[in-house]
Amino acid sequence: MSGLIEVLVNGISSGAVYALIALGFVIIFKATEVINFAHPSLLLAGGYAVAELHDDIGFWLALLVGIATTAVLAALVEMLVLRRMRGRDHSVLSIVTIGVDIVLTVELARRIGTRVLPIGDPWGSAVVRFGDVTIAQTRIAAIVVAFVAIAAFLLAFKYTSWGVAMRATAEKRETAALMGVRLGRVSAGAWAVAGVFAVLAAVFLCVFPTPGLDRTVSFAALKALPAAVLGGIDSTTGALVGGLLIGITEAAVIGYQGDIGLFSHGFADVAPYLVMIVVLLVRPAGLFGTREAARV
Amino acid sequence: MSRKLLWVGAAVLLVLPPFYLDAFWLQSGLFAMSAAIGAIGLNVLTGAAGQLSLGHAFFLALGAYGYIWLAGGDERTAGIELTGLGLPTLLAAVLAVLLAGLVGGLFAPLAGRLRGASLGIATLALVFLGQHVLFRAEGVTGGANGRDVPPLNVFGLEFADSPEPVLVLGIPFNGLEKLWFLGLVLLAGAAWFARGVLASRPGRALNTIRDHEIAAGALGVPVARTRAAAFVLSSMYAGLAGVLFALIYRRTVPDTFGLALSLDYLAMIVIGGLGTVGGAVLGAVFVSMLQPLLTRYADGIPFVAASGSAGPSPAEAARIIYGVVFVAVLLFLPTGLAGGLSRLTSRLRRRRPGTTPNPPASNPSREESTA
Amino acid sequence: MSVPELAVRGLTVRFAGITALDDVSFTVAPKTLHAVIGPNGAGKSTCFNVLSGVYRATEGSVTFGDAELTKLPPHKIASLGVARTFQNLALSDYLTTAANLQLGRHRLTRTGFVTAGLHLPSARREERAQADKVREVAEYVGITEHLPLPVGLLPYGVRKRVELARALCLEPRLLLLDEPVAGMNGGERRAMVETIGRVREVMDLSIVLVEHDMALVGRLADEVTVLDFGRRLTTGTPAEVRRHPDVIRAYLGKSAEEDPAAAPRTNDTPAQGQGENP
Repeated sequence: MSGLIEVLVNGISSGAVYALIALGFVIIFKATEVINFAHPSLLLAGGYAVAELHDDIGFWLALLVGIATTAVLAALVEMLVLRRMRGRDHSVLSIVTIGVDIVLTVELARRIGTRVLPIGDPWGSAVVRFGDVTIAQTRIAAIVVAFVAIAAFLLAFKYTSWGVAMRATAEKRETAALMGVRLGRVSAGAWAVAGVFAVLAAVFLCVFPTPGLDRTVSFAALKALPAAVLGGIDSTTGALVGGLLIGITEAAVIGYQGDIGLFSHGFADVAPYLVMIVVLLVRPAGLFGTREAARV
Repeated sequence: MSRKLLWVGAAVLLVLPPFYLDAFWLQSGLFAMSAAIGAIGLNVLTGAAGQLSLGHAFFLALGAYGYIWLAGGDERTAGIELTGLGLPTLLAAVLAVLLAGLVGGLFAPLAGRLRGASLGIATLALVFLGQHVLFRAEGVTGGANGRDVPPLNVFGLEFADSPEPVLVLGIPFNGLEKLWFLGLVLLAGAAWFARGVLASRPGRALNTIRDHEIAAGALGVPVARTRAAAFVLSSMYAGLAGVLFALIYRRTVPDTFGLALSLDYLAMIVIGGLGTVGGAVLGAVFVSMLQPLLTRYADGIPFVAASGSAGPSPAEAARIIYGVVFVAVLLFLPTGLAGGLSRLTSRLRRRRPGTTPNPPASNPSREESTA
Repeated sequence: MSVPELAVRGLTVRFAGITALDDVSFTVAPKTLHAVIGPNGAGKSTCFNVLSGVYRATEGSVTFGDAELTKLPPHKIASLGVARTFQNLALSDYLTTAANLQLGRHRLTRTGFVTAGLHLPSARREERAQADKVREVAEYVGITEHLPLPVGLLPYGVRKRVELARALCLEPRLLLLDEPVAGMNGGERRAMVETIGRVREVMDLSIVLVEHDMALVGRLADEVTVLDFGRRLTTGTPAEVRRHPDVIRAYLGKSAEEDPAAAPRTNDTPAQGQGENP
C-alpha cells in the first residue's frame, strides 16, 4: 500500500514537471501554430545557467538569472528566426526549430561534456515521512512550484490583456491582428513564458534523486512532447492531463518493472511514447484537442 | 547537348575515386551515397508531402539489422547467443528493404491521419522504441556491442576484402572499391525511381496534399492512403540506405540509430532543398562529408580543435555548422542549396545572349480574398 | 455519361452548438444551373462543404443519383464526378499551372507509385495523354499561355480561372462553384461569366453556384435557392426569387446599407432590370 502511494506521489510530481514542459509546447503552438522542437535545448540552457551560477551567487539568484536568460533566449529565437519566416508553411516553421535545437543542444552538450553538474537546490536529499510512506522533499517542492506556476499562467491567460490577446490570436490570427492585437508581442511573449516554464522544469528534473544536470536532460523535454500531443497540442487542459498521465505511467513502470526482457530497465523511457501512440490511434487530435474545422 | 556532356563528365568523375582515394575517403563517400538514398526517401515524405518524420533512423535500423539477421547465421560471440536465418545475402538484402516497408505500412493508421509536425512527434516514438528494442534484442543485434555484418554476395561476386584481391588497372579491388560501384548503381536507381514518382501523378498528389489537403481530397486524391503510401516508400528507401550502411561499416551498433541520425537526415533535405531528388543528394553529400573533411583537416581550421584540446571536436563542429546552415537555408534560401544553385546557373545562362529568360524568381505572393 | 439529379433533403449541420444549416432542402435538375445565394453567414459555404464531403452532416441526406454523398469521404465524392472550386483559392502555388490542372485528372488516371517510379511505358503514355487533355481544357478556359508558369506568380483573376479549369479537368457531372467571380474586376468578371455560360451550354453537367452577385445569378441560373441564417427562405427562378417578400426583407432591405457586400450588385448586365420591374 505504501508502495502504491509512493508511486502515485512520485508520478504526480514528475507529471507536474512534464506538465510544465508540455504547457510550454502548447503555449507556443497556440500563439504561433508552431511545434517548438527547440524546447529541449531551451530547457537544457536554463538548467545549465542555474548549475553554473549557483556556486557563486546562490541558488535563488541563479534561478532568477536562469529564468531571465532562457526567457530572453526563447524570445530571441522567435524574433530572429520565426518572425522572419511568417507566411511560410507551418510544418516548415516547426522544422526550422529543429535546426535551432541542433545548434543549441550540441553547443550546450559540448560545454557540459560528461560532467554531472549539481543544481544547488536547497532541498537536497531530505525526505518527509508519513507513516511508512517516504517522500523526497524535492518531489513535494516540484508539485508546489508547478502548481503555483501553472495557476499563475492560467489566471494571466484568462484575465490579463496579454492572455486575451493570445486567446484571440489562437482563435484566428488575421482577425486578431485587425482588432489591434500586436502579433509579434503575443508570439515573443508566448515563447518567453514557455522558456520560463522550461527552466523551472529543468531544475526539478535535476534534483534528488537525480544527481544533477547532465547532457541528456533534454531528452526529458522530449518526453513531455507525447504529453502535449496526447492531451491535444492546442489544449492547456490537455497539457496538464497529459503531463500527469505520462508522469504516473513512468512512475508505475519504474515501480513495477521486472529485471529482464523487453519490459526491463529503460522501458520507463519508452512508455510515454507508447501511451501517446495508443491515444493518437483512438483520437488523432489528442484527448482534449480540437479537430481543426477546415476553413475553405 | 551541353547538359548531356555534363552528365557524362559527372559519371566519369564518380567512377574515378576507387582508383585514387584511400579507404578513409572511400568509406566517407560510400556513407554519403547511403545517406543520399535515405535522404531521397525522406524528401518524398517530408519535402514533397509535407509530412515530418523523425523516425527515419528507425527504418535505417530495420534495414541494417534486418539484413544482418536474415543473412547471418547462428553463432556465439562474447557470451551472446546470436541468431540468424542464414539466407543468401542478396535475398536477405531485398527482404530487409521489404521489411522496412512492411513496418512502415503497419504505421499507416497514424502516417495517414496525422499531418505535418504531428506526424513528426508520433514518429519520435519509433526512434525511442527502436533504440530500446535494439539494445535488448541481443540475439538479433548483438546488444550494445553490435554485430558483424555478413558481406554481400551477388552471384559469386563477394563485396568483401580477400587475401588476393582482383587487380583492376593495377589497383587492388577490395570490399570498399567494389561497394563503391554497388553504391553508385543503387543511388542512381533510387534517384531515378524517385524522380519518376515525383514528376508524375503520385508526386503531384503528394504536393497537393502538402499545399492544400482539402483541395486534394476534393479532386479525388485519397489523402490518408496516399500519405501512408509515401510513408511506406520513404521507409523502404531508409531500409535500403540501412542495408548499404551496414555493408560499408561491416559492424553495426544500436547507438548509431538514435534521434541524432534522424536529425541528420532532416538536415540533409532541408539544406539540399525540400521536395527534390537533387536537393536530397546535395544535402546528403554536404552533411555527411562535413565531418570527415573537418577530421582530416582539423589542424588547418582555427575553429575546430585537434582531438584532446578544448573547443569543439570535428564531430561537434560538423553538427554546429550544419545546424547553422540548416536555419540559414530556411531563412534565406527556401529552395535549399540545389534551388539556389539552379537559380545561379540560370542567371549565368541568361547573361549570354540568345537564350530565353526565365520567369521572375520571386516568391509567389499570397493574396487573400475574403468576399 | 448521364447526369443524375442532385437532391438535398432536410440537411442540418451543427458545430459546437451553432446551427450553420437548418433543415435545408432543394433539388438540382439534371443539366441545370442552380444558384445558392444569401447574405454572409447564411450557410452557403457550409452547404458546399457538405456536398463535397469536407464537413459531415448532422442530419439529412444528399443524394446524387443513387449515391448518398453524406456518407462518403471527399475523394469518393470526387470519383462520382463531383468537382468543386474554392472561394479562397486552393491551388499549389509552387507547381505549374499544367501540374495543377493535371491533378484534376487524378480520378481519371491510374499511374501509381510503382509504375511512375519505374518509368513504365504505360505511365509515360498516360502522362502524354493527360498533357493533351489538360491543354485542351486550358484552351477552353483561356489560360494556355500560363501553363508552364508556377501558379503563385499569376495574377488573382487568372488563378480563379485555373481553379475552374482544374475542376473541369475532372470531367465532372456536377460542378460546384464557390463564388467564382469574387474579388475580380469588371473585365475578368465578364469573361468568367461568359466561360461559365459556355461550359453549361456545351458540357454534360449540372452546376451549383454560390454567389453574392445577383446580376450574375440572374443571368446564369435556372433556379435560385435563398438561404438566410442557415434556413432556406425560398427556391424559384431568379425573377420569382427577387419578388419574394422574405428575400427582399432579408437580403435587400436590412443589409443593403450597412453591408454592401451582401447586397445584390446592380451591374451592367441586361438581366438586372427584369427582376425589379415586374
